[in-house]
Amino acid sequence: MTTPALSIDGLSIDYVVGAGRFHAVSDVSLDVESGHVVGIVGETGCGKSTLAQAIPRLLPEPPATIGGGRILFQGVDLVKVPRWKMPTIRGTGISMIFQEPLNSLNPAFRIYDQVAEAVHVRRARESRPGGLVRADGAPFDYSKLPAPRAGDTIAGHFIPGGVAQDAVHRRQVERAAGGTPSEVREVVLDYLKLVRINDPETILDLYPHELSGGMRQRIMIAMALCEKPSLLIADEPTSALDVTIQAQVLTLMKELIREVNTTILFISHDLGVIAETADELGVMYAGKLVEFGPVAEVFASPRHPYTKALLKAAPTRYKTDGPLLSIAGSVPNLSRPPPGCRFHPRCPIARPQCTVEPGPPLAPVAGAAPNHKSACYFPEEVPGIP
Amino acid sequence: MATSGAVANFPPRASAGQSARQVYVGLRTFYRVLKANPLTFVGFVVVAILCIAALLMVVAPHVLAPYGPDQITTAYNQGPSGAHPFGTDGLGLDIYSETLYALPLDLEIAFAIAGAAMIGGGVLGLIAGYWDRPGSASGALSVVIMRITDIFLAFPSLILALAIAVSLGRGVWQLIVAILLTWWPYYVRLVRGETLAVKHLPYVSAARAAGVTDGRIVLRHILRNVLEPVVVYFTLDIGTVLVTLSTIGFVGLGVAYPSTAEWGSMISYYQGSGLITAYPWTVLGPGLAIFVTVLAFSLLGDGLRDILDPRSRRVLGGTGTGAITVATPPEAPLPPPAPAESEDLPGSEAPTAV
Amino acid sequence: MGRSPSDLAVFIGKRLLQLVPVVFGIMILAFVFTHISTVNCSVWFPHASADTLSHCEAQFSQPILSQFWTYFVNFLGGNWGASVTGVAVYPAIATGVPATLELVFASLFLMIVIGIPLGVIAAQSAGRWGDHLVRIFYLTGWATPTYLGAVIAAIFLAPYLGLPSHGEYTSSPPPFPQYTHFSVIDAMIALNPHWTVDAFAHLLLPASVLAFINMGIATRMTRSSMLEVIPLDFVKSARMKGLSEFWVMYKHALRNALITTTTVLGVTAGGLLAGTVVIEEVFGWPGIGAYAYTSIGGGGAPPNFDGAVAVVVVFAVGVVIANLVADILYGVLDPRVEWR
Repeated sequence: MTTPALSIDGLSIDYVVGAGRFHAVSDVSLDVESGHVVGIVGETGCGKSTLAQAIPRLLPEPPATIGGGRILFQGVDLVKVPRWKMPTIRGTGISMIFQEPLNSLNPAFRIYDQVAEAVHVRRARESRPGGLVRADGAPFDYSKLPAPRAGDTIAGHFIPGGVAQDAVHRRQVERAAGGTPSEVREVVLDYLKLVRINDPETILDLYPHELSGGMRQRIMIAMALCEKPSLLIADEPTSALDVTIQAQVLTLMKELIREVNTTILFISHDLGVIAETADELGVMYAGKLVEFGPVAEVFASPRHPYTKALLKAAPTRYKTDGPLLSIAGSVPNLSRPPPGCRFHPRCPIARPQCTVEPGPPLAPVAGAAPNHKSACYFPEEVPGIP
Repeated sequence: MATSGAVANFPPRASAGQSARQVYVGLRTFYRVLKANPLTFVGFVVVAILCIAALLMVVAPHVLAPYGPDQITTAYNQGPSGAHPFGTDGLGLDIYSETLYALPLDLEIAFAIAGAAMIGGGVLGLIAGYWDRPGSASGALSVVIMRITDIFLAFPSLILALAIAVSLGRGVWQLIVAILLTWWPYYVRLVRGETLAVKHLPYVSAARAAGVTDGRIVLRHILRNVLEPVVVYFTLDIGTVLVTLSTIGFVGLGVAYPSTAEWGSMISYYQGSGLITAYPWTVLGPGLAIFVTVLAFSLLGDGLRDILDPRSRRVLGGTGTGAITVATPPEAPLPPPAPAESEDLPGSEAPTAV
Repeated sequence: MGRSPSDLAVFIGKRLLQLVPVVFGIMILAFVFTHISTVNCSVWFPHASADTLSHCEAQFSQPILSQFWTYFVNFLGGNWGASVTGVAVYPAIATGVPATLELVFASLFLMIVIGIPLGVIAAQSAGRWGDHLVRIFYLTGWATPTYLGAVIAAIFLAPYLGLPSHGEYTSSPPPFPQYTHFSVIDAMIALNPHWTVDAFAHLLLPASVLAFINMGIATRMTRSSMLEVIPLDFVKSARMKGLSEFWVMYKHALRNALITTTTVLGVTAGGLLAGTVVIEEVFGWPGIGAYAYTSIGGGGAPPNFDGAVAVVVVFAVGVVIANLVADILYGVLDPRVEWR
């Protein structure tokens, strides 16, 4: 068995707000195999975005604190990497697509400058002795890279835009980007074409506010991909978009997942997307990973009561009759989570045992696929829940 | 009355019975916030000490000041010593006592100017902000107020105050009038801005829709919301007024020292008479006094502004000092902390555009 | 798109036109306030000749608005009046303006180069010691009255640092032509390294004091707009590109924070200009600040009402222009603003 691209082990993340502690992620363990697409689903507030942002250490600490656990990426524990070294891992190592395309692009810079900057980071790292590629194909330890150094001139970016379509400005950025102007430009154009932007030449000179949300998310995707990351985290890339745009971007994501063939952690609350794209599926509830397994099997026979309820409550696209189902009860307050299994107050098969600390561990399910795990004491009863 | 009473409950407020408890909770919050912000706390303590000292100087000056305001000692031009902490000047006046005698006067003038500017400018700002419907008579009034305010705001206030002071002549009242004439526009701008921001909040619109009179809305809803930033600004402003009035004194247009003690005039007197190079300690007392006073008010005001500003409150909350966020009365259900509402980081609820 | 150079020209032209009534208002106010009380000429100018006194009385005995009208018509014609002793106001101000501008620009430069990075540091360490230290620093400047800072710097600091504390040059006038009346630039044009260094040394102390005292505005505004920008998503996405924290802060975050910071330029200009009155007097800097000091009777001199009005108007126009520049800078820095 190969080492997983990303291995999270017993990760806990708390927010310290005033005098209170808010347990956003509790004891999550998760393996993402190299080349696989792993989906994480869960309700709003279950901690899936916190988890996604904790992997590249993007959470502001404080208020967030990593309470314990390890995040192993390319053999390095990211929890222990000093913060100033994290930039060497971000970008070419781990890249991310954010939830809010409207806010994710810097409003003050042209599209070209922003994408070219990412191209530059990749090129600068590749051009260093040893580069990013290893002949034996073994995992590359990004934390061994020298501390980051952006060669961009400040001046190039402080020239106010808009006074003229200034060629000087662009040339400065390009020279800084370590390639001849046309080379960098070609790479940028290639990636804009990859994300199905029709008129990339025009788009390059525009500012983010001149583009629609869907376009901006495509550019975010292009920016993430052009660094050729070892791991791509997509944090609900479509949830902030209009429904029709969502469909387009999702189609694009699905196609790209096949084309770029990289390891992806796909956070979503849309079960349909996960079903179509992911190899494995993790289900989170109240900061805990409650079920993990091959996507087809989890959909066909869930082994945790919460997964079962979630699947039942999910609206299918063509279902027009009958009411939308919901799960009885409400999501627990994570500053004071219920003892034991966090789902027990809403669980139809809860027993007294379920309320005892610590709750059920995430354990392999007997009689299922070898990597199918469930955090329930009675996984065999779940298929019987009506 | 029934309608207005019902509507007035839209914003979360306590009934009369609870107000004592509210005051208690408010004071406790205030204390916890101050404790968590060392600099603001220092500012608060120094301001309190200064105010008490000023009161003492008015009621019983001998407790603090070893010499009378015009008492000539036998020592001339002596450096700081145990008997004369800030030394003496060429007339034989004890500079330490003189500095203390100036304290109540300086504070009085500063409070009078900032207070009158706050009330006068505040009223104009409320009018200009609330009754600004174009086309109406009040709308025209509001436009006139803002035009005049804008012209006043173009002057660096010190310069205009100096120009007025030269025309009015020397004296305490002249000084107050000169500064006040240049000081009110800042409050008009501040209060108008806050009023415009509050005016369109849903509960104000609801009150208006329910037929509550404008005057009542302004008094009960707008004023309450405008008060907080105005008080913060006022605290900071005391320091600025002090600097301005002492600068006018320094230029030689304020009160006349040594007949009346005022810090700026004292420094002007010692510097102007060429004493400063020979006897540098002469400016120590008044200089230190004005620096400490202004710094204390600035620390307090600057800290209060940060604490009341929601952006900074979030940051403070993040470092475990956000007393405000958890300062709701215990019997009220605890609101879910920020991450419970959106699973994103506390930061991502920030506005869409910069 | 609304952001072509011609749009910018229209945008600036409109703003300039809007200034005309404001400047007129400024003149009325400045005139009325300086002439607010009845002037008793013989009391103000006890040593003046009978001729001067009658001239003074004739000037102040008319109704105030007719006085203003006479003044205004003369003002437009370039006759800005004279002091009671007959020294014309306009030439004095015209030679003083470059010196004052030099001082103000030098301290503006120091404020930007020191104050803005301090604001970034404070925002990055918000609520921790770095933040507290920066706050102590800028509030110390804020709490120092200009005259106190100037006196301390000129009398105690200057000898200690070995810096000159009086005038623009060691000997005035310098041995080369003064084309621009900017001391450093004139010395540079004359290609005279010795006098260039001399001019710099003379500029350093007054500009530093002025900058230190007014630093708070820039630092505070940068800090609060950085606090607003840092949590935004585009800062996270800049981090996720693999850029170092320095570049994320100073390129991506600061570039956006500066957009709001420019709006305080008008306030800054007001503070800097007001500061020159005392700074120039203490440091013997031959600008309009020192002229204002003498015109309003600083240090017990007889006041010069024509000079006072003119100087107040010039200062106010300076603030108005600074606000205009801030307005334009805001439009240029923020690509979302359309120039209309």
